[in-house]
Amino acid sequence: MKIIEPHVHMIARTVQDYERMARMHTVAICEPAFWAGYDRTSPRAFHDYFTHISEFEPTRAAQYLIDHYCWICINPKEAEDVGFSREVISFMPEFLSKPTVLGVGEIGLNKNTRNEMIIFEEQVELALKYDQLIWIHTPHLQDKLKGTRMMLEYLEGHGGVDPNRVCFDHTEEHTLPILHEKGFWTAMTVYPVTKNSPERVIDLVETFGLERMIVDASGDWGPSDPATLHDTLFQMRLRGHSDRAVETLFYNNPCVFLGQSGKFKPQPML
Amino acid sequence: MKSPKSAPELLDQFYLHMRSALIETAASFDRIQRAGGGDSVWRDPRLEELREAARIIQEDGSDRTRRILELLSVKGEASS
Repeated sequence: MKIIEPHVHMIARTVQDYERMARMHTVAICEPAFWAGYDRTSPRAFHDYFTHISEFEPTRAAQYLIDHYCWICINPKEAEDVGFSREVISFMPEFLSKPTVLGVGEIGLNKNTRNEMIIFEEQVELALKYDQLIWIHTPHLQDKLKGTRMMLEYLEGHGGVDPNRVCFDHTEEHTLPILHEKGFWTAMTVYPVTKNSPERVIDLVETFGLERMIVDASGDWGPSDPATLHDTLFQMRLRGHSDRAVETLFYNNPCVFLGQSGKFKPQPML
Repeated sequence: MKSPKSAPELLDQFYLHMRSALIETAASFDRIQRAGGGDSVWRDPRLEELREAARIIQEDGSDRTRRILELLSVKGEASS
């Protein structure tokens, strides 16, 4: 069975993670642009970062037969300075046309401030202008519900956003239902501690079905592990679900959403 | 998408995990109360919320997780 990892920050990981993922049948991964564990000191540092994830990481991944894709944006943790953020946004278009860039992401909110919301809205407009998919970061812990509602209200009121081309990531039991019923894609990120567990992710799948559902892992600079995706796959099998259902969740669904970019090569299994 | 497993089967599968998670939480409450200054944090809003969460676990219904997550969420408009 082939597996797709839709959310992993390989810039923060060692080559051993590529090796582990390859051994566990991961054939493609996606790296959304995000915080690097520290605040960049200039907008130009983002140009280097975007070059890294759109040119260098694909070469590291290819050594393990993994296709590497990425998303480009100014992330919400560094979006409080509106002027700084707009400088980053100004050179994003040159990356959006690259062959492994899937769209604009992971944009979103961190502390749900007005400035973060301004930059979120401007990047939604950029995505629409360049006909790009959108990958959204929802805040963590106590800020998640409020931030999710703020972004949902904006996108619903916009009038020009197709929910089928937008995926909200890091959803949980209190945010997934309100997004799913509006037609958005929802991704559930699995962490070793503090957030979604494999068991809770399969609970959500059993409650809301397979349609427009994606699972991803938590490979970044904090407590996280790309293998949590495979732990969740195993949990789904332990719970008695069919191989076909497992394949739909961990391979076909990401193929369908990401395939809308026109750049994602893996095709759904018929 | 219904669970392929029955309720008794799921109870067998998850009972030890549930038991362990509750005991770990109880032990954390005890650890905090025993420590220096334990009495002063006993009414910390975070602990109050966890006590309320424990009450939700005892209620009927199948959406306890959502209700606890909402309890632990901040409310209100965008901050400046």
